[in-house]
Amino acid sequence: MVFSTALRTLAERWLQKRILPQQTHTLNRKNIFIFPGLFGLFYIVMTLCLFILAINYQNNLLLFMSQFLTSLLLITLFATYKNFSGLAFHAIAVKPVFAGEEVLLRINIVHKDQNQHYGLLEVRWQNTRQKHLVDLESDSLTVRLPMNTSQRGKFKLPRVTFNLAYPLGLIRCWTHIDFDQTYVVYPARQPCPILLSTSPDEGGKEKSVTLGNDDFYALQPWQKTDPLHRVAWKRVAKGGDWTSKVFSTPQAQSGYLNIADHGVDTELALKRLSWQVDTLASKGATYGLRLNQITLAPANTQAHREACLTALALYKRETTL
Amino acid sequence: MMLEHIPVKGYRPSLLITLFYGVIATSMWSNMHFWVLLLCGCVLLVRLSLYFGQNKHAPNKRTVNLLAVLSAIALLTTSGDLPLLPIMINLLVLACSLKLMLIALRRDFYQLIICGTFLVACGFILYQSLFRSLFYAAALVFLLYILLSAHSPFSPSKARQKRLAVLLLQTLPVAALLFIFMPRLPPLWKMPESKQTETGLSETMTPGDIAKLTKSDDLAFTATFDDTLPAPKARYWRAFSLEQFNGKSWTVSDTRRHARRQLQQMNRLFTPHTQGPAISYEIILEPTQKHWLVGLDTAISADSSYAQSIWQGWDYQLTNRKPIFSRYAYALTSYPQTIRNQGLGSLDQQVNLQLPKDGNPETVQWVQELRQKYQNNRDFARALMMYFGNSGFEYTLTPPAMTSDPVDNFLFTYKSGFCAHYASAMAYAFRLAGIPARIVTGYQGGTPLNDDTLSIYQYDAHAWVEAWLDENGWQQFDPTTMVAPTRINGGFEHAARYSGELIGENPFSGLSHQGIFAYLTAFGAKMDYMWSRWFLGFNEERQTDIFKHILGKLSPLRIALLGGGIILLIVGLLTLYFMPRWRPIPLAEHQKVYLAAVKLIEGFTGIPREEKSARRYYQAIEATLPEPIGRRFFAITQYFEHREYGAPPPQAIAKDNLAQLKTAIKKHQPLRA
Repeated sequence: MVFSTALRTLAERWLQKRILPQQTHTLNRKNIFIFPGLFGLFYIVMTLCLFILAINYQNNLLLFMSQFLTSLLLITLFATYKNFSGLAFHAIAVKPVFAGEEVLLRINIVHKDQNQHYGLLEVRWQNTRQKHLVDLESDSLTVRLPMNTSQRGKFKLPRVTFNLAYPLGLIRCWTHIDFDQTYVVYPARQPCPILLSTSPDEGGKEKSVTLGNDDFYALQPWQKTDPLHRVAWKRVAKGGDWTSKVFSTPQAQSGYLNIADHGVDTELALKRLSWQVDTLASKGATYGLRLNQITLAPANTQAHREACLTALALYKRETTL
Repeated sequence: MMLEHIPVKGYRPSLLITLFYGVIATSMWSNMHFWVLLLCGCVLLVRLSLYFGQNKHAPNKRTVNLLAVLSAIALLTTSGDLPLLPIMINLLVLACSLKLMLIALRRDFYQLIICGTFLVACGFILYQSLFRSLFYAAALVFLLYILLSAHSPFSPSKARQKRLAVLLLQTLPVAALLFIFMPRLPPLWKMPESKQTETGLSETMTPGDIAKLTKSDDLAFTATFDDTLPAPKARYWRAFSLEQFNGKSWTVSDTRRHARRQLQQMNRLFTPHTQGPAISYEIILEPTQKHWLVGLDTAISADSSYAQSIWQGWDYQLTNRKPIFSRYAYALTSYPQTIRNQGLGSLDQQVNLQLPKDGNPETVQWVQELRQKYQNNRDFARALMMYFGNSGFEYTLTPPAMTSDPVDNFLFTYKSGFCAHYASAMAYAFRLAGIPARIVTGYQGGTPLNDDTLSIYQYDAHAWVEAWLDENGWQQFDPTTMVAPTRINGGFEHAARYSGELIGENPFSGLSHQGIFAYLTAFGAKMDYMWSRWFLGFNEERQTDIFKHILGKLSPLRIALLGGGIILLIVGLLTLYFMPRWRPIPLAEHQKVYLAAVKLIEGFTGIPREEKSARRYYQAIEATLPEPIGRRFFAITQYFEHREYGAPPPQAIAKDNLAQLKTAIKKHQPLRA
């Protein structure tokens, strides 16, 4: 176990030097690995058996067959390589997502040479099993490679493995490509009342309690203290969990969202803030954000939303990168 | 990569590979159990219904496993007396048929491909005629096509076929180079010898039994003579001699076998002293699974290179050190006038005077009387032959069974039989008279294939007698000639057809002697002969000939150079295939269109473009072009600039413009005229 991990790190280090992180890669001699696949190895064993049978039976037909199969292996070695090299991959920058959602890496595949490429290209994240197949003869060559997220923060995308065994599956060509992409995962959204404080300085004093009766905005897990008339009975009747409806009055005025208003559980506070920023941004409200030392002045642009969410994602996490 | 999980419905490769197994199993029907073929057919039906979606789910794994257990038991109980290879083939087909029902993963598919290739190889072991070989080669190509289809499932099948053809054509020269120049290896170990030979000579001859062998029209061997063909009378092809008689059956003598083994171990070589003119020829023997070789008397191997594998027997019999599993080519020289009094005289005497203790009392009596009349060995032999000629004997392939005292029954009661009966009776009579005699089995006759080649079929099998009368040693007697001279002069086929016995066996065999069928049969036989001679018979000796032809003289250095040359040649071939630099880069569509348009305009205006850029050329000829032509050409120029240099796109599509330009030019009178 220790040995295999050591081997893996060693391979990873070697790979880092060999295939440099880049957004666009063209496959050539330097980044293609080629070796018979499992089927290819069985094929070699079978050819060897046929050869031994041929010389033991002194059978020219069988001898020719074994030599033909050997030559075929040789030819497919080159054919497979030729079919794989010259492909170029371009990664499109990844959009940030909320924790729990899937990050989607889109890769455009283009031909960089005159050759037509054939076969099914297998695309997957390195060291995972979930595979995606792309037909290289189709017109639109874009791969969408999803990845689950669970934690907030900023991460580096792992290497992507491309795998092609056309024409006969005997020889496998593959490569592990680092597209040099990072992605931000915002904290998951936790519905809660919106708490906007008007002053950037004294968070706790002038908060506006915005819980109201006018506008339904979310469902929350039911707690014993919640009034029964707020329970979402329809949902309970369908056999779902007990949830209570939360209402709010629309916010007109601008203010600051402050982490200090949301208790000691930082992660929960971040989740709530994430929800609030998202909700406020979708309503077009103007809001600012205060995360202890960090203060983002109120605004209502899309860029501001992203800045706020990124700040939430990276809060006390920046060292992890 | 192909799909990891193989869909059940509508997946073409699954269906094709089932078809492949069906066809290949059917082609081996003579080696297959009928119930295995039946199972194969059922699987094909199952696959068809899955393919068209009539059944949504492949059979349950448990059901198939149960079926597998049952089939294994059935196979064990039904193939007790089959040789190893057919059992293996049955097992392989059976296992694959069951697997075919359950194709779910990529792995299953690959397993089926590997087993399929093995089946094709088994086909090559079992059958080696040209037709069969081509069939199995086609099967292999089909298998590779299935494999390729699985790896590019979305391309049109025409394109796939083309790509496979390219791949195979690239492979063939490399394989041919390997085949011709790779050194031949001797067998690594002995393969299990097969007991069954449905056709071929038997090492036991029981004249009382019904002849089975003579009805087979399979090829036994072909012989190609350096000069003219020998006369029909002289075409006695010795295979081996039967020297042990128990009153009913003739068998190979144990003493002889033992002596041969000892002599071989001591490596004592027999070199007969030959006399008279020589006949040189080459024989391509069909697989017999046995050691014996055929040859005209007295045959010795033509070339010292064959001395490695052919052993000259002290009883004038040729044996190969390895059993003949595949068609085998060898060259011999025969000296028909050799006096065969050499060898181990005392052993010959001892073995060939052996008599059964009792039985056939009438024959014993008759020989005693005859011997008293003819004290001289030669006179006695002549009298015997005369007896067969004058006593109303009849030649037939379907004599009555003679189970007790067969010689008595044959000689005095039924007086009808075929070569085995006559030879047996005569050899027995010789021995009773104190003259050493034995039965030689082999082939007699042959059908000329062309001016210098004879084809000898299994129905040409024959048995005759050799007796040691005097100091001249072994002499040949064929009592059958006295009864059915046509058997010897016209060949067996002629004699049998005359008596109407051969035709009845097979309703189709009669066809092969008429009109177009005769021509096709002859043509097929010729092709098959060429196939055996140049491909199947390509052995170490032929390879050495080629080396000598290329190198002049064989020395280690030259052979090493040749080897290096062959490797370089292969590397060169690969470079040719995969280095595309020498090929001109194909023109893009817009370039083609523009160049075609320029050609039209040049023809129309008579002003060549020379090295002008597209824009310049248009400006140069703009004034001379009449209306729709100028507009069309401008559109094409614009499109070209757009594609080539990234200029703003034109409104119209260039292809249509080219067609319009053509019609516009056609309507106009050329300017030059």
